[in-house]
Amino acid sequence: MELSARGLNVDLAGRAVLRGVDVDVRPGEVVGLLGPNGAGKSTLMRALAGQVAHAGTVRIGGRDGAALSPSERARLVAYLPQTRVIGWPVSVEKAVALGRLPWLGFGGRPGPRDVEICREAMAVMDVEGLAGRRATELSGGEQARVLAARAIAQDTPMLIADEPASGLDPAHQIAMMAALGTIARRRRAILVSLHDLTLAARWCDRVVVLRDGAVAADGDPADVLDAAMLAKIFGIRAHIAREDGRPVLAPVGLSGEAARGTAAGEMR
Amino acid sequence: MRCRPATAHTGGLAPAGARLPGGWSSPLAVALVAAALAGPASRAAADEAPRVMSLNVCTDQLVLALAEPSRIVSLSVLSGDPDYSYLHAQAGAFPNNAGVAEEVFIARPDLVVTGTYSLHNTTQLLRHLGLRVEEFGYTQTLDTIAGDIRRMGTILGHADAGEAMAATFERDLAALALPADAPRPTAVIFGQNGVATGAGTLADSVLAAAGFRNLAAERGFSGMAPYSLELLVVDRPDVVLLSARVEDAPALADQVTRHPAIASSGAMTATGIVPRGSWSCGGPFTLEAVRALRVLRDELLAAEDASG
Amino acid sequence: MSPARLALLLSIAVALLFAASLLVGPAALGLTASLDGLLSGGGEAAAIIMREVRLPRALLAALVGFGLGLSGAALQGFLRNPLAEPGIIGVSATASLGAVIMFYSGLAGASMLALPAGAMVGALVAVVVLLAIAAGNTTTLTLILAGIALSSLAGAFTSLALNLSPNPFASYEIIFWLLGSIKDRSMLHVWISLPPMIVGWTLILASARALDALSFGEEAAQSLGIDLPRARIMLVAGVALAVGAGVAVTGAIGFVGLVVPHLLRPLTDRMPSRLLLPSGLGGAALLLAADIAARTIVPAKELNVGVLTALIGAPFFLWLVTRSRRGLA
Repeated sequence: MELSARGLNVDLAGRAVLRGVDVDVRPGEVVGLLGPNGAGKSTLMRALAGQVAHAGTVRIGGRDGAALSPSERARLVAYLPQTRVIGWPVSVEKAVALGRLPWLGFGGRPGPRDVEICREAMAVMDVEGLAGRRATELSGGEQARVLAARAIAQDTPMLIADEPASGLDPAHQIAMMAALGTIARRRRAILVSLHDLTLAARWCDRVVVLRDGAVAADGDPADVLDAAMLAKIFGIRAHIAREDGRPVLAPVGLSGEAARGTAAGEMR
Repeated sequence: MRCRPATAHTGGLAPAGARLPGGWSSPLAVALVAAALAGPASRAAADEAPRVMSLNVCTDQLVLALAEPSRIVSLSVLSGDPDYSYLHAQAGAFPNNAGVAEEVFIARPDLVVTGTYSLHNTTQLLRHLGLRVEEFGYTQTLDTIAGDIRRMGTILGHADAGEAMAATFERDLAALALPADAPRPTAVIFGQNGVATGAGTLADSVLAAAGFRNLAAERGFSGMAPYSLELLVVDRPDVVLLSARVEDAPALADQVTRHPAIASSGAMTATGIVPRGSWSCGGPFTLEAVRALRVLRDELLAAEDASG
Repeated sequence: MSPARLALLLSIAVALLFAASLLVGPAALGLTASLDGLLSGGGEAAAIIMREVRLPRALLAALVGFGLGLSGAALQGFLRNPLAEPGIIGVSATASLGAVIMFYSGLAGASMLALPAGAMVGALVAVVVLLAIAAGNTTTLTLILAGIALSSLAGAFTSLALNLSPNPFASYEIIFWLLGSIKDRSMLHVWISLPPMIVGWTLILASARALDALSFGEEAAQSLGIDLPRARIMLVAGVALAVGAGVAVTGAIGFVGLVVPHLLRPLTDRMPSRLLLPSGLGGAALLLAADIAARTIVPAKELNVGVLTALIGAPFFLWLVTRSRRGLA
């Protein structure tokens, strides 16, 4: 099922945060959402998840997003917020199991299939070994993986993850991206926002670059993430190598005069 | 004017002066006006009868009964409250005081009458300031009333009137006495918050004089004491005497007196039997409370006879 | 401990304390006389005492305690804050104020029937104000300070309203509204408070899923299919009804909703939904016990039950605050 937006506009506190954004996320692909701070990445994700008022259309699996009830939406789209909140010292197992909530009736108990899905989600996020631990007592990176497992356990055709890799150690960053790739191979549509361009270039099937609330680029990372784009949007210079046909970025510094001095202004 | 008829004690004591304009509230000013209005005939009296100020609702009413209106400087604020002051109508003609030493000092009466306990610190201060303060006992019963009347008469310079009033009171009270073997129904005075009136109180002596047994006193309670709802149901008096609610000003205190368990116990309840204010303070009018309760007792006994 | 086992144990505790509450009173009725009075109606005085004096008292202690425990657990879950409690965050005090305004102004016409309405409006105002303050990211400190401000303001207005009443007894009733008591209540009090309480409990229990989802933040809850505005309304209304209806007939009784969920949380899997029913039962048990103590600690003199819950709860609250002071910063 496909997740798409057409002409998306969002105003927050009188400021236009998104301006006419078109975006598509198709089953089987991991789409990286990139852009400097304040570009509107989180707002776009929240709008797609139905959590912020917007103009324009959001279509979720071919249906009008605005017409979906909260519980219908929860069975179609999982959303992993950037802010990581764990309110009570519940066990990791319980935290992940909460992802099954949309699939259980009121007062319903999880069945064997729910248990199996949770187990898989924990395996994908490498938190099986933490199952009995209290989620509040884990390290930040471990908590991030537990919460990601919670979203994966929701087992929806579409997944929106807002900076799931931030705060993870390099191995788990790679593991996180690989896991999203694995899930996408099961005909899931995945939208993931990232600040790490290297990670995006290496693991995303496609990238959408936002700047000032509008789409600045949309396409294959190899095409989009060139030196001009890095300088113009992100204000950096990077070495760009290739491995397995995918670009490998190594940022080396801020872009200089060649980028016509826009970087400082853009970054604000 | 010094020899007022003793029968004037319960009413008809119109003040000599006209009702004072509302704006004239200073006791001193009032006293001056009252003295001026009284005219030459009262000058002689003015030499002997002290100008009196009362700070307590019970002494207020003895003063009202015995003093010449022109000699009354002011009465306590409660004197106008019908729930505490039987003579509230007459009291309305006089200025009120809040019982503050300062206003007494400014008014400079010849005599201050008050109750023991009621304003203890004020009393000490006033004596220190050189004022003559007469205190009347806080605890009153029917037996202390005649004595209080006589004493008030004496200190107000109307010993004869006091004596006559006291004698009448004693005679009327004696006339109400019941034979020792007369049937005496049981009663509990069940006030707000479930507080009952026990032994050693004016109300207890009034109940006895009217021909009731006060169960609160028999349970060993003295003064005002909480009487639990459960005990009330167990004791089941013939009548539970309730006080009237304060109109338009509800309080939770009234709730327990209307608890359904009282009605279920089969006890009769009676509200507002005694005339308002007639047993808050001891005075000639307290006999009205005795008479009202006597009527209730006779009705109870009659109903009992009728039902077998 | 399994949820069923915990609920069973707490139910047994409530049943035992309920029975004990029925057996305590100044009229020294024996066990058989009490049972006889309660069940058969034999022995007239005993029957009246059991059915019209002690039964409403025990019922109200259990019902109001249940509502306070349940509301405490729900508020803690909703605000993700272990210090949230109807008393501490000012809901009880404003409910008192609502009842006081309704009753002493004479609007209620000296009847008890309008009291719950006033108290529920008061509680509602408090919960709405607090949620407005708590919207977005509230620290524990903000919440508690707002609660203190609301409580103080409501307490001041309550005192003012009672002092202004021409009824000489009204000013002595400040203590009832601020510290609560279940003395001499009748079945009428049970009947007027029970329907709103049941509606309130139902609303709170129906929010169980939302509370669980909210453990991981509002965004996560929404992504799990929780209709957040609806959940918020249900909880606000539920707490206002459960607490308001209780306060209307017993005055404000503090700390039950704080202590009980906190003591029981370690016995559950710590999911807010699993804490609701145990907290309700625990609240009922605690208030029954406190009310028995209020009648028996000082012979022949009843204490206000809110004094006892505060004596237990306030030191506990202090301990919690010092323990979580990192969270307060």
